[in-house]
Amino acid sequence: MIPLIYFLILWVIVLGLFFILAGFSVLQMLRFGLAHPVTEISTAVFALIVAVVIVGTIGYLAGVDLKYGLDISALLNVGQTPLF
Amino acid sequence: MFHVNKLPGALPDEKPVGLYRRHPITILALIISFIIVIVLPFAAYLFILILHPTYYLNQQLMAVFVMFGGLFFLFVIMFIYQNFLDYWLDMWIVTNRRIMNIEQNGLFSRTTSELRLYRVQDVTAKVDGFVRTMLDFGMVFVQTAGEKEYFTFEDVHHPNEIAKKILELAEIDRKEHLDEAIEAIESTEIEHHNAIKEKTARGLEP
Repeated sequence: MIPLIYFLILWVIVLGLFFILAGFSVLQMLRFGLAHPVTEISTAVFALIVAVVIVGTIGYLAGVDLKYGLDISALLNVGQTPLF
Repeated sequence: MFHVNKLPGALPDEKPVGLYRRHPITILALIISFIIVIVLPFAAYLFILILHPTYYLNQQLMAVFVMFGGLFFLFVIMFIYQNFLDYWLDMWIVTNRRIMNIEQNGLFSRTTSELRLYRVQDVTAKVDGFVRTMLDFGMVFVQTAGEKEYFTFEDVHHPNEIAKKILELAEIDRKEHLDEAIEAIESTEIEHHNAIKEKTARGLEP
């Protein structure tokens, strides 16, 4: 049984890494992309998709009780067909 | 058109003439992968719904799916954005005074080189292959006095027109900056002769 909070901590760490890389990418794009609508539009689309995914994930996780854990062995063996 | 102040080391009386990038067809694979990535979460949702609908009843498992599925999606989107950045930041800028080649290699590597127009001696446009011929894009090679290396515009749209334009601008620039052009040619010749002398001394060149 792995507590969900562990998955959440891992998610936050990887998300932090994502933000660092995404920040560098956006910075490079806006610094060197010259003043052109495509530079701004592509960055806005990227930021919008990122925002939608993160807000959606947080919205979903807000409704989940993180006190419980995930029993992987039970998932793979008991009464269900394995996922893969 | 972009503003000349945005150019690194803008010269006095410099006016932008053209900004060229690779033909958009060269990022077709990127556009297709973007569409696939957008469709992927919905396809995965349907896949699990059809094959393993009971997984949606397990709230903990779904929470983990949402967290890491979302992360995977974010990293793929960022990968696509960085590839687009690589395409978008590669550019060739032609002004009435010089040609600039700006090349972005990955996220943290950027090369900027420039060439004064009066140094241009030969411009070659090359369109080869079915797709390039149909869509009229290809290479433009710019060669300067005394240098063996080419300055290359890669997969640009209308390469013949670009080559013609560069030659015209080079001709005008040579007339306007005759003294600088003569100086440059002389210094190139001196450098070239010195290089030959050194090579001859070392027995590398007859």
